[in-house]
Amino acid sequence: MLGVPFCPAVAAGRDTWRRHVAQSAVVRYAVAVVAVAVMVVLGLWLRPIVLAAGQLLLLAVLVTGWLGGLRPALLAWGLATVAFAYYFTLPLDSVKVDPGQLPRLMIFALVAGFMATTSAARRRAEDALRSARDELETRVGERTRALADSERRYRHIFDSTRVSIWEEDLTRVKQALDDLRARGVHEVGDYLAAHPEFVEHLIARVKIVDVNDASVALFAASTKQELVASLVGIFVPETRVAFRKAMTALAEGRPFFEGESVVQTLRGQRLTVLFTLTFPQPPASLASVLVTVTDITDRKRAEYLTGHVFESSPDAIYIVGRDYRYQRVNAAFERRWRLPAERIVGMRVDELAGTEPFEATYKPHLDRCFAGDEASFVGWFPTPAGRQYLTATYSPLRPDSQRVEAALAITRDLTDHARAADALQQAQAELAHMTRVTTLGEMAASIAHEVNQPLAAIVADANASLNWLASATPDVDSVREALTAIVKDGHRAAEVIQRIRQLATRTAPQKARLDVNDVIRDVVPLVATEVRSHAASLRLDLAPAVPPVAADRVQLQQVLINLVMNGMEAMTSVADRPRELVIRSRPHEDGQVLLAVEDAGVGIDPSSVSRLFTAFFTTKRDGMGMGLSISRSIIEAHGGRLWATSNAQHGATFQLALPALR
Amino acid sequence: MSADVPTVFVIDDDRSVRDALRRLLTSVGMTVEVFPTAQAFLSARRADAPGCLVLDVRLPGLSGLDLQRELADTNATLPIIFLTGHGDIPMSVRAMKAGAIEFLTKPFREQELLDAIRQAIDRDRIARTKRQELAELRRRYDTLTPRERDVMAGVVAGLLNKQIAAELGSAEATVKEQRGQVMLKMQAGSVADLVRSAGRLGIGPSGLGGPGPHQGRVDRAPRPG
Repeated sequence: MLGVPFCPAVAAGRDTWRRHVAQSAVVRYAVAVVAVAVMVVLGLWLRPIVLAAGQLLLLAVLVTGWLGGLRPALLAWGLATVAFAYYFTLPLDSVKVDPGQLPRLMIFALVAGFMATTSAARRRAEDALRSARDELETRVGERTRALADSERRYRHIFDSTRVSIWEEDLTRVKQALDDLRARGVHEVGDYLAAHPEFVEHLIARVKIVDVNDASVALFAASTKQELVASLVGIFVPETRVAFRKAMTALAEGRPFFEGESVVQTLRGQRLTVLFTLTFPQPPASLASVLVTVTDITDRKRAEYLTGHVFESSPDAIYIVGRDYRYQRVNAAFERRWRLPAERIVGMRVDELAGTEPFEATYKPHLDRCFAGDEASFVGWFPTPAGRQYLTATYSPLRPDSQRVEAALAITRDLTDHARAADALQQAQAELAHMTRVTTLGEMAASIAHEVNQPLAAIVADANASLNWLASATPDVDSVREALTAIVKDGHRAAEVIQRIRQLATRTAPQKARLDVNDVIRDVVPLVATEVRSHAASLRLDLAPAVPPVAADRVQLQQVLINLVMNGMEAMTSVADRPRELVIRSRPHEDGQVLLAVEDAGVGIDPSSVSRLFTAFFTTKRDGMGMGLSISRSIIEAHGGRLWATSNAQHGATFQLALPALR
Repeated sequence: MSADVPTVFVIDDDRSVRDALRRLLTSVGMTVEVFPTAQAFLSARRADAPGCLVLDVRLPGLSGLDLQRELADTNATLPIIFLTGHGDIPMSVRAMKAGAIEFLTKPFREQELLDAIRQAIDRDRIARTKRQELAELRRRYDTLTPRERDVMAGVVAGLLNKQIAAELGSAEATVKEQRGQVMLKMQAGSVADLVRSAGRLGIGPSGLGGPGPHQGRVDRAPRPG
């Protein structure tokens, strides 16, 4: 055969050539003409030997159909039929055809036509197949490249990630688990828990395929090989528990397992880790199971610390959402309300703490907190343990956004402190009362005088009235004058007694809005006689307008009386200068009100300045030494200060500053 | 003012008490003068009439007791009734020792006060009479010549004219005449009268020229305050 199209050795060249031929219609038709011409020449050369050489023209049709397609093949068919009729039918070299030769020509034309169509169709099919194959090859090439990329990327991740990744072959493990099931064990978890030796068996069947660099670093191995060979080396009891759970997940066909556990490095250091196992699903093999291990030791420690603070704090701590429901509460909070946290979480604050305290106190402060402010308050609140004095601070919690999601409340039970403070206050009040009564005792003579003055006037006026009425012509005007005086003096006596009763009655201190000038004026008549008996004088130097203060009137009077009495005592031995005592009132710095009692006495001995306000310190022969100590505690209980200074020339000044009401 | 109308001086720093006392004493027909302080009383001109002081013990400035001492020192003694708002025993003792008539506690009974005032005024009246008699004797004594005073001293000492003459180095007749002058000037009816007068004047038998009338002391400056 002619080595034309079908030789595999030239397949590549042929393909190229064919592709070249196929490119141009002219060439394809030229192929028809040339092929027919070549065959005519060849046939003419062979005709003398055998007339059937004309059959070679079939070959031209075949070749043209193969190379040029259907239409050139039909052209070749036409040309070949004409050439056959002309050259290879009798009479030869004539267009004429013997009637006896007609069947032969007909058969040639039919065969040539069949060959033309068949050859062209064959060629089309082959072309389609070839293009499909080309496309497939292209696609396979691309896919291969993508896979290579993916593999590269994966390797890159595997090697460079900071997460420890272990590639493990669990095929034999799965096999062992399947065997277990086949033996009729269905509760794999329970079985593993009961059979630690089987767990060890499973661990031994784990094959480490590869570990990444992060794993080597995390587990303090010197090489990959060292780590790959020592799976058991990283196990501690907690790890076995986690491994058991992971194996249960695998046995149950779950696609994924995540857990937290403790492992140890090859150097024996314990690590808290978060690990994941992704199990390929059947029918994929378990030959490459990826296990990731994340070191959360530091995070865990921080979490433990904050959690520990939260849980073990003696302060009750809780978190309340914007819906006023408890989201989290600690143990101290559980103890306060005598309910487990599970019950409390989800409850509304009013359901637990009561509607009234909620509306009055909790809600307004929570709302302030939700608005972004810190809020704190203190007060008595009902709890299952009875009324408790609680102080609370609400801090806004903004987990993600700027919006406050919840309030963190830290509350402390100050009941004992409050009770102690109450008891102390009561004791102080009692002591204050006692010293007040003592002072009153010391002042008894003066006070009697003060009461007896108006009484004497009343009696005298009454007698005068009687005398006038007894005369023949009663002096009505004089009687009226005397009676008016009686009324006035009666009231005066009553006022004095009222003031003394206030001082002598034991009442709990009650703070009220007071004008200190009024208090000073109240005290003056009480001490007036005492001042006189010390041959002293009392001068008031009051600021016309002082801001009001919140104070207990009686206690403030007591302090003033004390200071006045002290001042007069200090002037007893003074003979060379006026024994003048001045009481001043002034607005003071920082919104305070200042009261000063200034004497012209012997002054303060520098050696006793520091002890002046301590209890039982006295320079008097018969003093108890309580006056100044009580006075200072009274003033301090009012949020003020009491101090003493020496005057430039003579005597001392005792000053007290009280916060003014705004 | 007539010497017969007694005046009650009230000193009390408490206006109510002061006014009430004024009304009460007026209502029983007494003449009353009221003062808020001892100083005011001292600086006021007082009528030459019998009277008494009603004093509050605790007075500002000069106290009641101070005033009592002051008055005693100036020999211008007025009987004092002390009033006090409370029974102060040491103070009342001191007051009574210093010659107070009464020590009344406020509120006082009308009768007690009025009785005390009357008693005080009576006492003052007697004292005043005595003081007037003494003043008269002194006035008479002042008219004697020094020689006559010497003679009087001798007579009071119970000496005879002869002895007096010997002592004074003069004639007995001269002494007799001077003795007559003494009896005349001293308005003495008898030697016994003269001796009594001499006694009241404080002229002892040995002293020729006994103590004269006291001179008023300068008031102490009132204490300020």
